[in-house]
Amino acid sequence: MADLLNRLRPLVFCVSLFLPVSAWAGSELNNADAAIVLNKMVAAAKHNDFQGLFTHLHGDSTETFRIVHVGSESVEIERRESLDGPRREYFRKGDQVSIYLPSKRAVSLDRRFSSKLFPQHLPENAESVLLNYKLKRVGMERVAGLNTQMYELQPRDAYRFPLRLWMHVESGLILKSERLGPSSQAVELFVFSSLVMGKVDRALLVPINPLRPVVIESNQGVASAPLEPAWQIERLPHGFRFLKSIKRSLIDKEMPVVQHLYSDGLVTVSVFLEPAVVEVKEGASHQGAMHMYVRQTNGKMVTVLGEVPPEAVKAFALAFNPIK
Amino acid sequence: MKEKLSALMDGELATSELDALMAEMRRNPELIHDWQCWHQASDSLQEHPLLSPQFMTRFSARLAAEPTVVAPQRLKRSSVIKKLLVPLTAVASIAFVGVAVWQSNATFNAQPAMVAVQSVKVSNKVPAVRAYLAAHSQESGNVLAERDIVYADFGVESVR
Repeated sequence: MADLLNRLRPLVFCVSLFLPVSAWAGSELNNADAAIVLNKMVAAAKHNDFQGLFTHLHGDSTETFRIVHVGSESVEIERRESLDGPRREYFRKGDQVSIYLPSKRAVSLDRRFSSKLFPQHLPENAESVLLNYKLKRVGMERVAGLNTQMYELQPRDAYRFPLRLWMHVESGLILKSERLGPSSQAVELFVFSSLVMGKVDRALLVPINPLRPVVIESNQGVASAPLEPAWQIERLPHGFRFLKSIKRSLIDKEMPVVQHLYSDGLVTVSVFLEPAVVEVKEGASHQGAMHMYVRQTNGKMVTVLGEVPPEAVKAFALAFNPIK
Repeated sequence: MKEKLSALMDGELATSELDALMAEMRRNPELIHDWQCWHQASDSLQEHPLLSPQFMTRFSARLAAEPTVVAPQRLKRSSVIKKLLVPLTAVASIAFVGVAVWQSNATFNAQPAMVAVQSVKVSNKVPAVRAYLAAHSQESGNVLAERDIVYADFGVESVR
């Protein structure tokens, strides 16, 4: 008997190779359950007290931050500081944000939609994410010594990249978040290396750098295409909302350019509108997940930029046509 | 010579000097004795379990007595199961590929045509890319990240 089992072992091994594939495919959550999970993640990042260290990997850079968060009291208080590279610090009490950055440039933050920071980076209205992504339960993993349930937000169309989330089973806090890029390569990662839940030392909430207050915008975006004189905008990629339009001057440019911001809640795309520039080449380019598309028509130029697939930046560029 | 022996122990001896040292060790048993003593000292420092005395002598003797196996003998005749296994795995992988192809057909049919991004880098970089990137990252979220540095080397590619 034992001999027979021994002989069958390779066969059993071969069959078992196919099992994870089917397990992977069969764990999509329906919209109601997915909304519960996402809302749990959002609430956990808001209402828990915790302190820890997390690492941010993006492109070639690796940075570690300390985070201290108090959410159990009437006003949420949060402090972050960078532990490597130039000193940077972020302090938030309720809706009041102040930061310390080495450069003196003006900063404005959109707290509700696009400027959210890990592990609070899901939009407050988490259900809106499910219009463009579906949530899949993937498996269990250990992160920072804690048990997590791993989820993947998979795009419903070709205009965005997936996002993986590791949720602390007990609290619902996101302990790890990974943005995938072309061919499912990880392009951005946030991960806690140490985390202590529960009462935090109040002394850790005191800022250590000279902070300055930041203008906070509260922008949910609009679903309709914006009005732009001289441009006809139609057939924008599905699921992106218009956030705002800024007139700004760029280095090496005489004329100011108009920048439009669009977001689907997880990723932001910039569209730059300006007169045509002869020496600029049209077409697509990318670095990692950051894709760019330049298009020139009728003496005007559209430049689209964002961490979205090439299909999305191209679709954005084609949606903008100058009015003759 | 002892300095070289010490360097070898630390893994810092140049490869060019290795042969000379080995030859010297073969000639001079005192060096071999030193070599073994030093290793014993470092082992006891690192709390490795110590081997019995004369381990090396006895080990060498037993190794010399071991018969040399020129070609390992085939121990088992191939079984029926193993013969079956090859066609079975082939069938399984074909079925798997079939399912994968069918699934990808089902999912990707509805999607817009892929944009062909040619990944040949053009040597002259457009400095303006950086300005767009800076403007984009300034507005799109993580204020604390050093994005300007991350995207300083943005290669420009062209689409056919």
